[in-house]
Formats: sequence, C-alpha cells, structure tokens
Amino acid sequence: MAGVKLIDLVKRYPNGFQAVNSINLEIYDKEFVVLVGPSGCAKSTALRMVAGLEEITDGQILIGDRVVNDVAAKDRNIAMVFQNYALYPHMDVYKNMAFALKLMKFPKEEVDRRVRKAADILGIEQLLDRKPKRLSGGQRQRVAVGRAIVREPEVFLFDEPLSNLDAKLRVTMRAELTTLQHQLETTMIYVTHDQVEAMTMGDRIVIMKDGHIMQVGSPLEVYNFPDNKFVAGFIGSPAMNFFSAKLVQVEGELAIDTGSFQVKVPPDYYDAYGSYKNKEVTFGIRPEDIIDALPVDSRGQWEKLVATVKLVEPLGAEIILEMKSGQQRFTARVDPQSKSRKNEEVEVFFDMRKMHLFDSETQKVITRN
Amino acid sequence: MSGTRTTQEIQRTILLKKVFKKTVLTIIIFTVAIIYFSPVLYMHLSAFKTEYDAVSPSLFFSPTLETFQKVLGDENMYGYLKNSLFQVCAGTIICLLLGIPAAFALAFGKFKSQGTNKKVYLWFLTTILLPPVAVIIPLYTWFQTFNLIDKPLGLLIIYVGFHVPIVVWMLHSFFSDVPVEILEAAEIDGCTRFQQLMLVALPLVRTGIIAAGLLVAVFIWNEFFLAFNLTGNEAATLPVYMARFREQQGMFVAQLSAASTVVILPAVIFGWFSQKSLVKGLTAGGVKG
Repeated sequence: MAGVKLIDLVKRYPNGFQAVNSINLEIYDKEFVVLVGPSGCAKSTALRMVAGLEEITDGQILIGDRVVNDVAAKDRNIAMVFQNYALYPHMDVYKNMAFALKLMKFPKEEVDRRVRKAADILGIEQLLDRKPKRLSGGQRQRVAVGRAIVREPEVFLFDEPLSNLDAKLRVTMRAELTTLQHQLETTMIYVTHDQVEAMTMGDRIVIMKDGHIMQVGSPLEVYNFPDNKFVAGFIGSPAMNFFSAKLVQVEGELAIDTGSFQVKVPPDYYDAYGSYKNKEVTFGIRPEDIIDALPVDSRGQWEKLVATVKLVEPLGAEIILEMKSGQQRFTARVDPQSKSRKNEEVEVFFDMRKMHLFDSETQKVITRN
Repeated sequence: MSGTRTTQEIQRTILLKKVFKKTVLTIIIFTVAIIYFSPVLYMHLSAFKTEYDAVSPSLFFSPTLETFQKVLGDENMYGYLKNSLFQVCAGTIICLLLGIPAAFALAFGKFKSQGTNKKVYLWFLTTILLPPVAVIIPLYTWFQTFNLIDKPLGLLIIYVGFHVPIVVWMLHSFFSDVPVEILEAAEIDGCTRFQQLMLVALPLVRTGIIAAGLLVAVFIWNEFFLAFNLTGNEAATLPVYMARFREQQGMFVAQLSAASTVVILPAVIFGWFSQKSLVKGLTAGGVKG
C-alpha cells in the first residue's frame, strides 16, 4: 500500500508545448483521488506519467517512498484501467486476467485463486471462458477492472473508465467502483471529465485546467468554497451564475451592482469585502440559491429582484428556469411545484449568504474567514 | 386509364431492363476472361498433346501423357526445382523474421526524433517500387566482386533485400490497426517490448503474416529477371529452366507447355488454397477501423 507524490511535475513535448505545468500533489495511502477537468487539462497525461507510459520531463513522482522516474511501468507495482478497456482480443476473460500473473511466473494455483476471487468480487465468474468480443461494454469494463485487481498493486489508476458506457450503466458502475475501493483499501487515482463522477466518488478532488491544479479538496469543500472562478464554474450543475459587477456603497450598506439590478451584501461580509469597495468584481451565485418562492422558514438573507422567465426546463425533481433581468441572464433551480411560466415576470430571491465574490483580474475568490 | 402505363407494366419494363443489362454484362465479362485466359488455355491443352498435334492450336485432339513423362523424366529439371524450393522456403522465412519486427518497430517504436518512423517506412516503400532492371548492372558487378554469381546464397540475399519491404508494407498496415492501449496494458502487465510483439501483437496480425508470407513465396517462386542474370548452372531456379528450355531445345511447343504447366502448378495450387487468406490479408489491412 502506498501514497503517491507528484513534485514539481512537468511534461514538455518536443515541439515545446508544456502540457503539465509544474504540479504538486500528495495523495495519501488508501485515498480515492479524482483528477477532473475539461479536455486538454492534462489530467490523463499526469496519470500516464504516474503509470510510466509518458516520459517525465522534469520533477519527480514517488510511489510510496520510491522515486519512480526511471522505473519501468511494469516495475512500479501499479495497475491501470483504460477508457476503452484495452482487453486482449485473442484471449478469453480468464487469460486476460491471468496474463500479468503468468508473466510474473506465479504458480498456477495462485493465479487461479486470484482470478476466481476477482471474478467473484466483480460478478463475472460465468464469463471466464468468453472472448472480449462476446461481452457487453459493462462486462468488458468489469474484466478490465478484474485484470487490475488480480495484480494486487499499490496504486490503481483509472483513465476515464466509465466514459464509454451508457448513462444508466455509468451510475451503477460508479457506485460499484466506490464500494470496491473501500473493500480493497488501495490508493486509487481516477481521471474523469465528468464533475458528477468526481463529486460522488472522490475522497478528494483535484481540479485541473491547462496543466495546472486549480484546487484540491473534498467534494463539499470545492463545492462550497471554490478557490477561483474556474473551479466555481466547473463544479456543480447547472453551473454557477456569474455577473460582472461593481461593489458599491449605498446608504452605508455594501451592495453588488450588476448594471441591471442591485443586491445587498450581508453585513457579516463587510469586513472581508470592504477593501474592494468601488472596484470591479465578479459576483457568483449558484442556481439552487436563487428561488422564486420564499421557504416557510427563510433563514437566508434574501434579496428580491424581478426577472423574466425565458425558458422552463422541468426535470421532475426540480425545475430549471432561465431568467433575464435587464441585460443579465441567469439560471435558477426551483421547486417542482413552481408556478413560473415562460415569458412571465416573476420575483426571484437570491440567498446572499451563499454569495461568492471573485477578483476580476486574478479570478481568485475573495475569501471571507 | 388510357395512354398511361399501369404500375405492373412499369415494373415489368424495369425488370426486363435489369435482366438485359445483366446478360450483356455477363457476356462481355466472359468474353474478356476467355480472351485473357486463352494463351494459358492453349498452353495447358498443348501440354497434353504430342509435338505433332501441338503445332495446330485445335481444341480437339486425343490427349496423351507422354509429353509430361518426357518433361518429368528430365533429370536436369530437378536441380532447378531444388533451388527454387530453397529460395522460396529460406527467402520467405527470412523475410518474415526480419520484416515482422521491423514493421512492429515502425508502427510502435518511439524514436529520438519525431519523424523517424515515417521516414524509414517510406524508405522501405520506395524499395518496392525499385525495378530490378535499373540496378542489375551494379548488382552484377557487386556479385562478381564478392564471388556470389551462381551461388544460392547470393540470390537469397538479393531476394530477401527485395522482398522484406513487402512484408514491412503489409504488416505495418496490420500493426497500425492494433490499438496502442492494448500494448500499453501489456506493458503495465509486465511485458517487455519483445513480449508485447510475441504475446499480444503477433496473434492479432496472424492474417497479415500469412498473407505477406504467401505473397513473398509466390513472388520468389516466379522471379525470373534476377535469377536469370545472377545465376549459372548451380543456383538457377525453375523460371530460368523454362527460359533455357526454349533456348536449348527450341520451340517444342508440347514439351514447353508441359514444362510450364509443371512449373506454375505449385503456385496455382498454393494460390487456390490460400486465396481466401490472401484476399482477407490484402484488403483487411487497408481498412482502418
């Protein structure tokens, strides 16, 4: 069992393009860490560098206490599950799973024991004599996971393993993989572009953009306390609403002026935001913190404004409203019983306790502790 | 509904047009096929005639095996046959032994400078286009210097040189169809580069290897120009035998035909049994999934 450390890790390609920009990360033993970010953020590249499939340009990678920069992939004691499963087409499921063990010259009984145990955990005992082309996507994915399990590695690496599965299967597999990780008590590094997967599976999430780490934290941490505008907008669906605004003082009170409407800042936050008075800021608020009917026990600090409903998207358990107020457009997530209709002018309420303010230049959050 | 045709009539006309087109096409195809095949047919028929009958290209005659007996009784021929067999067997095996790892390296190898894979692959490709006629003089001189004229080994070296690129060309296409993730998975599972080739990639390109091997075997069996120019009595192959037969014995049509039939027979039988593999191999590699 081992943790993984990335120290000042850099990946530069021969044409000069720097994909991974000196990232630092410590993953603890037995932790489930998710690397998440949009396409091109280098999360897969970083994973492949840990696996030994990509050369390390600069910096170090440690697995446990070992610096593995010059250690071949097969000697790093890691196992990887690929996005398109990468099963050996000419071998049946049993041979696929036994392959690595046979290469390591394990005795037959041990190979058999491990393969059957993994097959049992994954529920694929009845598939052992089938070739991959006779398996469904979900079954292939399980075999790929099984192939990794039998190696009993120090670290599991997953490269977008659920991306090729249909939505429903993805949900099932997500839960299965999380359970598996707890069962196996092994460090797992999981790469995905799906923030829902990241939120539901990780002990900690690492949000990446353009080869940089934007924030590391538990799912709730990055959701409630995003470090910067990118993280705030990336995590959470529908995405957080952003308004370019100015922090103004109106009759002794601080308020956000978006040009189309004004909302007052809760007095508790004056200390934190005071230094940005009269400056340009980015005001962020999540759709679920904008409602069209005040709850009975309104414990929030609600700011009211009038807006027109442009679009109503009923999702069953909730309704998404696309709204417009003046020049500003935003999304609200309201109760399924809501009576708001398209092209209606309605009152909406912003829960200002949940507001976020970002520096317009640095994009970083203006913290309030 | 006078003046306009019924649906039935229209359908019948369309059907008739189709049948007419098909018949005409079939007749044309068969005619062209027969025209192309007629020399070979003439040859095969002549093989079963006596010299006297063979003079006139008639389709009606009483077949005899005496010409074949004469040809197969020629002890001379067996030396040439032995050489041909040696070149085909040794040549094919060596071409595969060299070409398979080469194609694999060109498909998956990581070289220091970016474009090396493509460059070297193109070098191999252009060798296929090289006409032996263009290099026969320097080749002959070279062979003389190294005392390789009329030596089976000399011919073998040249055959390998000319035919390895074909193996590389075919197998490169097949290897390119193997997803690189499978080899990466094998790498993580503990395979060395060599094991990746032998245990994972090779089984997946089996069709390609068979096709490439068959193609090389047939090419070497049929190769005439280099054999004719670079061999004497010791190392000459069957195609050279055929040419000398005509020179030495003159235009004995029946014997020539019988000898030709014997010489092309192995290739035809070979090709007949492997045509499925060949076609599969030649076409499958060309379609990128």
